Amino acid sequence: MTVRFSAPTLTTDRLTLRPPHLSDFDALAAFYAAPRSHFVGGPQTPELAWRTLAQEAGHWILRGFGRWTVVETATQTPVGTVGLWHPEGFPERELGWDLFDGATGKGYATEAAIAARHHAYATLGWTTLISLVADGNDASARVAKRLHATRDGDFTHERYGPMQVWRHPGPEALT
Amino acid sequence: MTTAPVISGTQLRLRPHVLSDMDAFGAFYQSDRAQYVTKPDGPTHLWYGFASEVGSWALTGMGSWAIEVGGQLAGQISVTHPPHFPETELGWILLDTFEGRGIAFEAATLAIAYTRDTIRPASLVSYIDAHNTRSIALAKRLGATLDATADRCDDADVVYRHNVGETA
Repeated sequence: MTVRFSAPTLTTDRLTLRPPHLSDFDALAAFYAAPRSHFVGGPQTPELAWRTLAQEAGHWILRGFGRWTVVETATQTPVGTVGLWHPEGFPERELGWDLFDGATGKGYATEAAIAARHHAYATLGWTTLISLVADGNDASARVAKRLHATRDGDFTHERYGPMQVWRHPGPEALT
Repeated sequence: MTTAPVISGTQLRLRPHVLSDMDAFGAFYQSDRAQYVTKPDGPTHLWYGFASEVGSWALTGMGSWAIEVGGQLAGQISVTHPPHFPETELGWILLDTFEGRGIAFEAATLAIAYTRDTIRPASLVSYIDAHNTRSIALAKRLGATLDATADRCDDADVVYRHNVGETA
């Protein structure tokens, strides 16, 4: 007997947000091998990148929500990992965005994050959401600003170090 | 997404992990019983180890089960093959008060049968710290044999090979 857990797929104008697949491994391992990943716990060996990908899938099963692999719909190329994340060690539920190399500068993080945030509020019924931005990750802070999140203190993660807490507008402010 | 199948035995059942299982493993890793396994260095590490073995089911059709005895969490049995492992591995953790009752043996027997019938890997081994005499005794009781020449990630380990039939 095999049990299935159903994770939703979301679509935007240019992007498809789907559950993580085994086939995402090469793209994720490449992201975590590159220096850009130092804001989110990288660089990581392929062993740890595997653990990260499997953890993304396990997060869905254990918590009932998680992060999607974001695919550029026209090309079916994975461009990043965006979604609702609450691993142990985080202060509360987070909206996170990691874009792979070559996918930045196109507004993809903002576009995917808006869809994920809408899912959190409209489908899951959440009333608040933060994003954690590592100190110095200015590109990520700009995404937070574009999403109209505002600074709400600081948090020191046991691994990622000092992080800015950005709090998103609640569902009532977005309707 | 695929999760672990429920498998019932005589004195236990194997079931998918739930989030609350993680606390028991956090306590296990702080105890002397964890001297032969890698200890997480904090909540993030614990989460990554635990959640990745759950998510392994969705990605590869194999992963960890919780061992449940009388409604209580008794341990974990895993069939995993992360890319850096030379072969598919059967691993086990038994929590403190459940030892000496044949629970790990029964759980492993069920997991091996599922592996043979459904996962059908080319081979199945257990990587065990060379000093972990109790785990080695269990591997032998399961019929596994020492493979002195098998590749391993950790030089401190010995490799015991299980018979999963001619699926290669």
